Amino acid sequence: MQSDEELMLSAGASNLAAFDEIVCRHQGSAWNTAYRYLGDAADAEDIVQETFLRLLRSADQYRPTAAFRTYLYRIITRLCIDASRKKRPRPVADLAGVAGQVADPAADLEAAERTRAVRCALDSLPPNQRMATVLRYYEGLSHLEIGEAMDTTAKAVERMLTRARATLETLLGGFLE
Amino acid sequence: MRCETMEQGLDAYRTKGLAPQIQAQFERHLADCRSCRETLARLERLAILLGSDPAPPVPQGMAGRIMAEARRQFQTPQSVDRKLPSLLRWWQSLTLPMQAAAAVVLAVGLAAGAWMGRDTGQGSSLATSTTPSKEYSFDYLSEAPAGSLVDAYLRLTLAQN
Repeated sequence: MQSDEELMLSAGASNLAAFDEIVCRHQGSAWNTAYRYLGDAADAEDIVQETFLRLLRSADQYRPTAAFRTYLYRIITRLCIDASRKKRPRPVADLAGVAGQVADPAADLEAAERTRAVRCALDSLPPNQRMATVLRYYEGLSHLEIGEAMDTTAKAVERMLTRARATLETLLGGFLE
Repeated sequence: MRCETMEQGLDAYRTKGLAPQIQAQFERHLADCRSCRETLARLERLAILLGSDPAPPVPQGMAGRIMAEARRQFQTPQSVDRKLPSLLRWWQSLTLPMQAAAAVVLAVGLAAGAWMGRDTGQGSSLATSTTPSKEYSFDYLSEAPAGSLVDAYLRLTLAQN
């Protein structure tokens, strides 16, 4: 199996089949990051599409000096943060329908309430802290990887996450007992 | 190891993201320190709570739509994006704030250039009061060189008018 870096080099030589493989491999994490960050399916899909198209546009200049994943997260991080600065955060009402995602009707209400609280708390974070939280808790990136994606140091990421956790703990205190 | 140092690394410790030697130091400290154990438990509770939000499924057909757009943009003979000049590609690669900053720098540069050049423009209009042939003493090439009879006649005629 070809590595991501090899596929990118092939894509840079106008091999769209290689690019297709990249999309299939990474659409899940790209979608997860964008959706968790933006909270809107249509916006998230736009961002994911733009991310992959930018990847393809720059594929002929790609040099495998860093891990491909870092490169991907860097693009999606920038696009998400730019998008959220242009647009007001989603109102709480947009989170309706969360309950429908839970299969067990008995747990439905409680789970919906918890999910709503988590998403609202995430929304309340400043863009950089929110992105660091998404990459850490939903994508499982290390502080160093987050720093590379967000063009900052691991120390700065640590500080961002500490502040984010303090806010989240305050807002979600009732669910953390 | 001090508790302050521990607190900074507990999040990485939680996901086993530290070097094995440091991970072991953390374990030893945690065995003796109740405060750090509580901090770790708090971090874990938060991680579990955040993770309880179900992962959204990838929209059906998203990869297909991305590839269709990629083919549309990159496989047509008239593909514009592939042929963009490097300057434009550089411009597109900038974030919005960077584009704004670059635009401001460009505007300031143009304004400064125009301001500095305004004297030059005025100076050249003054220079038109004399002809280049006189200014550079090339008038001997004309039909009425200075000091000639024709020149004297022309001067007289112009003075009378």
